[in-house]
Amino acid sequence: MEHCELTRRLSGDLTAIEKIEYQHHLAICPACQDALREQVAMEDALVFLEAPMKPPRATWKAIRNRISPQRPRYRVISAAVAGLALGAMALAFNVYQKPTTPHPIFAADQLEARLTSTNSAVHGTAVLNLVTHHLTVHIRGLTTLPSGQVYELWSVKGHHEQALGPLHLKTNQASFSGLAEAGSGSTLVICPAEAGWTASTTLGDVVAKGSLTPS
Amino acid sequence: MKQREDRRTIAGIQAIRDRNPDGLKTLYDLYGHAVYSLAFSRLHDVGLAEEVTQDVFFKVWKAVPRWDSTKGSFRSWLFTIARHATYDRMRAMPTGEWLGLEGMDDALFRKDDAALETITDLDHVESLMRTLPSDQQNVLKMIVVEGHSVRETASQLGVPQGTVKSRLRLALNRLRIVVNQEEHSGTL
Repeated sequence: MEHCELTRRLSGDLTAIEKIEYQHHLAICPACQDALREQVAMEDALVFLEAPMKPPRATWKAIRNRISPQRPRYRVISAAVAGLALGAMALAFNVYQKPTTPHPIFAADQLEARLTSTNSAVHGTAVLNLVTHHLTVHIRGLTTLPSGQVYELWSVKGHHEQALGPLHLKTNQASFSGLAEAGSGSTLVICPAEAGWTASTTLGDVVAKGSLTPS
Repeated sequence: MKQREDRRTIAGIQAIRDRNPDGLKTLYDLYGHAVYSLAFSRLHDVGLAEEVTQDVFFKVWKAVPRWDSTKGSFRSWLFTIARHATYDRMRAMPTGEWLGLEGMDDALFRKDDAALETITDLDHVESLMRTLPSDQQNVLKMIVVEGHSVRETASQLGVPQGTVKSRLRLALNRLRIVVNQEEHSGTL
């Protein structure tokens, strides 16, 4: 077995049988393992140096959220403190007034959106927890995009728009789960990542959208 | 241009050491394409490649304060992190298919030999590439970097497929010989 098999692997010339033979040979040949390891590293280095692809625009937003999640955390803490204060007040009220029905002090605050499009086949829902700012989106009926493209979720309110991240697409269903800076009246928009969304004007087709309202 | 980028890299690293997120944005603008391209070239999935890119820059945010410039360039250090993050994600993939060569994953990182150190030194790889004839460089870039098949490459270059394979083989052999010579002579 010669190192030329490495070149044939790269050029896609190995038949299924040759591939299996090569795997068996690799398992017992340290020299060919070294050669393959070096070639794979060289391939990676060339790709890294040339960098032919551009990450989706939402990637930086996601990194930014990971390195400084203070704002949502402060909001959670603030909400928790406010909730405890309200709870203490309610407890005091209960002790002195003895109401006949309990007050739902810790009722979950959440917003919902029904995501629709002119194409009735595309529809979905979104739920935003106002305490944790966690947004969950499920949508059906999306068409598969060409390789390398992805659907992206945006939050739009007035002239403020924010990319929330890519949707994970499986067959014709997609989902999103993550932190989102959105509130009542915010519009959630789904569009292909390369389409973009600026100043409330789409540069490409909006696949679906819907406004967050109290549930 | 390279000197300017180096200054931006240094400024980005310094800002991260001061815990300023703008420093990470600077490094992301400089190297985000490279990390994402590497991840996508192996994972073939936009979502997974994006997750790897996020993980890599999150590690950069945490680890840059400990980065030692005397042990190599920032770019090479980042390349090593990106490779490990990419292959860690590949191992977790349910398909069991790994570079089309199952069972080779551990072997790829098991040994830290001198040849691999040479290859992960990106400045050195760049200089090695410049030693190749331009027709071999083009074939290597089209097949390895852009992912074209031999047939597509031959069609675009207007040469027979055999010529493309020959240039590819010559280029890889040339790189392999140089790397191994340096490994044995201890030149890095």
